[in-house]
Amino acid sequence: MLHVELLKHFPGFTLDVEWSAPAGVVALFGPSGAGKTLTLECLAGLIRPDGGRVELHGRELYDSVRGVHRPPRDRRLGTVFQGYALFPHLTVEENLGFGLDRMARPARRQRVAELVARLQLGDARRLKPAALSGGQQQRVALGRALASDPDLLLLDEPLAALDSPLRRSLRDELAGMLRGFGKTAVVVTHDLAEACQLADHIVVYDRGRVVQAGAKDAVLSRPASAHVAAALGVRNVLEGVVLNAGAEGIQLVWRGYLLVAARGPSGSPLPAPGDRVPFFIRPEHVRLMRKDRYGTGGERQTNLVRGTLVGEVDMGAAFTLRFAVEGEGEPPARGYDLEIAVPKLVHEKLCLHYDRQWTVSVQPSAVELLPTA
Amino acid sequence: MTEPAAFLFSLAGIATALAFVVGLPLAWLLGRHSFPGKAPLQAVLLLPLVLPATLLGYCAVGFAGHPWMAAALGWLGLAPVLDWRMAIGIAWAGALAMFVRSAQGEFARVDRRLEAAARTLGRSEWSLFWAVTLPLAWRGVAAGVALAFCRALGEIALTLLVARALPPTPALSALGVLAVGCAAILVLSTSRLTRAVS
Repeated sequence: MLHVELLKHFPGFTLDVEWSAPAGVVALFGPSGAGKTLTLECLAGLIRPDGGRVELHGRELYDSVRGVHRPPRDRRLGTVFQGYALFPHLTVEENLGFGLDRMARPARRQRVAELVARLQLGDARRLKPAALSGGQQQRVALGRALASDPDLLLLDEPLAALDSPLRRSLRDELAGMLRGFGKTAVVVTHDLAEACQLADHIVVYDRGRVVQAGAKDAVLSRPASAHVAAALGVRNVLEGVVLNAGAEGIQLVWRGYLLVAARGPSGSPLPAPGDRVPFFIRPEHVRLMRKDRYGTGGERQTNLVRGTLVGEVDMGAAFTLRFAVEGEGEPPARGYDLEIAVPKLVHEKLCLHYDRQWTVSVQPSAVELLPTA
Repeated sequence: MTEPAAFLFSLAGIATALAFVVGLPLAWLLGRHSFPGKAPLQAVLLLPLVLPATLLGYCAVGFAGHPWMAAALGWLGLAPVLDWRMAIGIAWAGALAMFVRSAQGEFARVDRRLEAAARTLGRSEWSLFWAVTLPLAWRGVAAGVALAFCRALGEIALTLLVARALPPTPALSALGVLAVGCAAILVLSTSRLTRAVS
């Protein structure tokens, strides 16, 4: 169990966070400048906070009230820095053994040999970091942090320095190694895909505060507010007016269309009729209605919305379509209301290049209401 | 080599060694930290680079010749003339300025994250200086030593000439050889070693 309460003032920025996480991998997720790396530096003991408390498995690392501030070397932690910060003048073996200087020489040599074997760095063990590939560098950084068998592993944007294809394969490798670690690890990232793959627990940061913390699935499927949804990069965050709300669902009006949502916002009471509520629809949950099929059984479909495709972004294997709704009110300033994700194959099959007028449908379960913050 | 040249070399060597011992912590302090009084301290350190050695020599003789100062020196068992110890002192000031200037820049360039990494790996400040900071700043330190030695040599030769502590003729000839040598070393060391001093 890791419990963190931190307060740190800088001119123009205040970090004021509190969160706890069970053993496992915790992702600190949020935009740049949200205070994630600062949190990590406070956990590592490199920066002394102005106030708060840090407790790891019942051991106090920092407590402003009781005046406890353990120096980094007494915290039993391993850190993987952004860009890895390997010692450029030392070989792989020397880097791995750097934190073991309090160990007897034979034990140290044995531990380094173990790490070299486990991380498959045999061929590279006498090389300097500059001669290593990105993957090898990552493994050395991890091995160096794990060498002294720490209680807590801290990783600051471990994949930020890499280019896209390498990044994906190293993410897999890192995920495997973190699972094997078995203790608490804190990963700082601004990449949602990275947070999802690596972590069991997500803490969402924004401007020096925690806006939501919880198990990964809970945070991802049910953002705590429109603000968190935006921070999480959730698209299609919209706002409607409640018509009526009951156990069987919630009806709301958006741009003159009646939408039915299957359930209310998590952890909040049902909204009252007349309330303005934020909601979101994931781009992959918006379905284009095929014209040859639509109309015959159309009355079975719910949440139908008419509109025009006004643009698209080629994402490689998929397209993101921009859909402007024909209805009451004006679309947002960006010129479209919804983003719709379709696989490339579907894009070709439906001739979306030529055919721009569409009706889309959304399942009631995919209309996800957010608590009014 | 003539005897006065060997004498000059050994004096310059002593001045350089002293400059290294004092200058290393000073350069680290100035390169890695900011503290109140840093700017004035730096200015005082650089003063010997701005003032010509001859002037320093005259100053030293004049200073030592002052009745109060002569009394003080006498009390310490020193003669109120410019002897080799004072020559070393003057050379040391110039050498220190050279050394600190070169090493400080290189210390400032060492990636702080590497030191932070060493701290999280359990190293004390003392240990990480020898294991990380110094090995990464060695070029600037080595360049500093080379520059300091050249400077000390020049200072000592001129100071002693001014004070007529050496007979002028052999010293002058030695100085000619040395000046050329120094220039060569200086050019080499600045191009090879000081990617530091920019």
